[in-house]
Amino acid sequence: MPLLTMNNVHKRFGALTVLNGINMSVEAGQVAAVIGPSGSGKSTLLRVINGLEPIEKGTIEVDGVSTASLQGLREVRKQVGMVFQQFNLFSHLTVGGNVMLAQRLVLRRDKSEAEKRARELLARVGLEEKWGSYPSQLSGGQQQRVAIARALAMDPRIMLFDEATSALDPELVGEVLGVMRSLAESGMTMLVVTHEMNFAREVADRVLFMDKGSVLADGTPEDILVRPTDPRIQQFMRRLTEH
Amino acid sequence: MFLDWGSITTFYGQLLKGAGLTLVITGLAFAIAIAVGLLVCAGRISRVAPVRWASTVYVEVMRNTPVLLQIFIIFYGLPSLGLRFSAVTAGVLGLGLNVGAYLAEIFRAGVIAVPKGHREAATALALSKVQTLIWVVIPVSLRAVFPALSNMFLATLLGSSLLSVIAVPELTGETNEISSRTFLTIEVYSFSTLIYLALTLSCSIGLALLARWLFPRASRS
Amino acid sequence: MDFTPVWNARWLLLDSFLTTLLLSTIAVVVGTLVGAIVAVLRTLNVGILNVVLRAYVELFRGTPLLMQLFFVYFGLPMLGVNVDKFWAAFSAISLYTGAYVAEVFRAGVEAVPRGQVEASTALGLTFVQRLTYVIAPQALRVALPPLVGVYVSVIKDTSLATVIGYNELMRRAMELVLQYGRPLEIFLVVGILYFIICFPISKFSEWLERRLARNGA
Repeated sequence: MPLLTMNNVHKRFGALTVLNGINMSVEAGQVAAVIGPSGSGKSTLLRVINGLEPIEKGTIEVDGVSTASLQGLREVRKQVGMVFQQFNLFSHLTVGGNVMLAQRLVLRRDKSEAEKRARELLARVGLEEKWGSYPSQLSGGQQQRVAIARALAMDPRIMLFDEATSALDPELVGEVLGVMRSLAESGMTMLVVTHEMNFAREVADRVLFMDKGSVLADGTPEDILVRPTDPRIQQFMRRLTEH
Repeated sequence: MFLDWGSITTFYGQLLKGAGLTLVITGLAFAIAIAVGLLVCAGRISRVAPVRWASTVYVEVMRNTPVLLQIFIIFYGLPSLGLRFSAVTAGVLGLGLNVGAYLAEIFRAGVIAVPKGHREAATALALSKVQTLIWVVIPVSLRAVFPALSNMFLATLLGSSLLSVIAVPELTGETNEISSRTFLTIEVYSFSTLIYLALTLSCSIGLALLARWLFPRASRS
Repeated sequence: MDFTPVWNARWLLLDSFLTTLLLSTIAVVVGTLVGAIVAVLRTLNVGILNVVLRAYVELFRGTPLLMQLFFVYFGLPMLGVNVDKFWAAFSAISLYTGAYVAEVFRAGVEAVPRGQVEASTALGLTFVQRLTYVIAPQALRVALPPLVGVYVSVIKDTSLATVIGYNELMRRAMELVLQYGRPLEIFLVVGILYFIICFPISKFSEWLERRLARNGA
């Protein structure tokens, strides 16, 4: 059974249809990259999974739990980690505080257990020495790595990355992609909205191309990125390489 | 004409007692104001329209009429409806209800000041609405509104002098009493002015230290 | 509730209402002038002058208006300066307002980017030219919403003049209460009178603030 299933998911913002009947699933351990032009609904695709945006029609299930009920949604949120384009670290908490907050409040871990897990994860993203720093004292790349550690601290089954490197200065992109790459290698299930085609080609098992609220193509990186057959994908890839 | 600075030493005790009462009144009125402010702020952003309207009317009425009048209504007016308060209670209540209207607006601005991303991150981490409010929204907005809160505290301190008008023996009241009894008017008013300056200065220093302790420099994004 | 005493005294109340408006207007005008002068003098950055101006602002913002009224009305005669009720009320409220206005203007001046002041100096503008063409137009835009907010406070604060017996609206209300009783009715009506003048000005201040937030400084 797939870890994530979306059935006929529809989402509108007013008159604008953002998701137009999405059907897709992600198997455990899979890394799926979502690409496509801006406004194609990539971010919304992620945001409906943990209910940041409500859907009008269709069903979403994570590990067999539907997001339709409030209780189910809360359960799904525990299983789904999310990393945002703008990091969204809590500015009033230290790095350690950021990684511990939800462990304490949601998973009800005691302080020493939460701290131990937080320190492990910060070491994993290479920031154990930033424990007592505040987000404003970190570079964008460091903030995003803390945000990844914060999401991982919930021991999620699946991680969503919403353009995690788009807000970063070019020289800081590599450190975040490095962490994401090692996470993928560790077997984490990942759904990654990205503009980094090299990352998609090298790390993803699967690439989904979205356009106008639909998944236009779904295949191996080779099929979608190297030898695309659909003219719209060909055009998209051409525009990317022109820059 | 000569000034007799020596004689006011006799009244130090009385004036300091008045200053003490001023501080107590300020503290009580501000505590009421915080409670009222939170309640009215919740009302202002409520989804229930009549609650929203009532809160808005409260804020506008309290902010657009003199606080002295509000104190008079409570002290002189409400007894005709059978509600009788002592002068101190009426004054503290009037001051607290008035300042509460200002605090409601400050709190509202604070809630708006919390970045949307903070809420989304909390939601994505499966925090409940109440947990998000307590652990994210309130701490972040408190930091944003702390300077405005400090100003309102000082305004409450100065506003407490109005209670002298309904014969509460706080600092201004005691000053008037001594002045009219001894005619050491200049001396005693000068001395009380210094006490007020000392009170406002030490309160603003205290609040600044509190801010520094509550909000480490780097946590101010 | 019985509003007949209020109704019978309507012309007296109206008269006092006009007195309150008059006192407010004069205090607003003089207070604004005082505040503007203080703010401009502070931009000169002359050591001793700055200390004096700062002391003025801190003194009037750090003590209750009520004390200031008492000081002027009861204290000055002791120093041989005789002031009548109007002059006491007017001068205390104006000086008090001036201190707040000075701070509002100072915040406005500080909102003008330093680079612009330096640029205009580099272009050879004199102090007065810098003030007139560069600082004042921008500072005023920023200062206007809180300035109008201060004016609302002035109107409400004139009610304190009642303590020295100046016959404005609040004083009249208290006299009527003493004469006829009915405190709730009389104070409610007086509250409405204050509200109908303060509310539109508050809204105007908020509108100015929104406009400023929209268009930027």
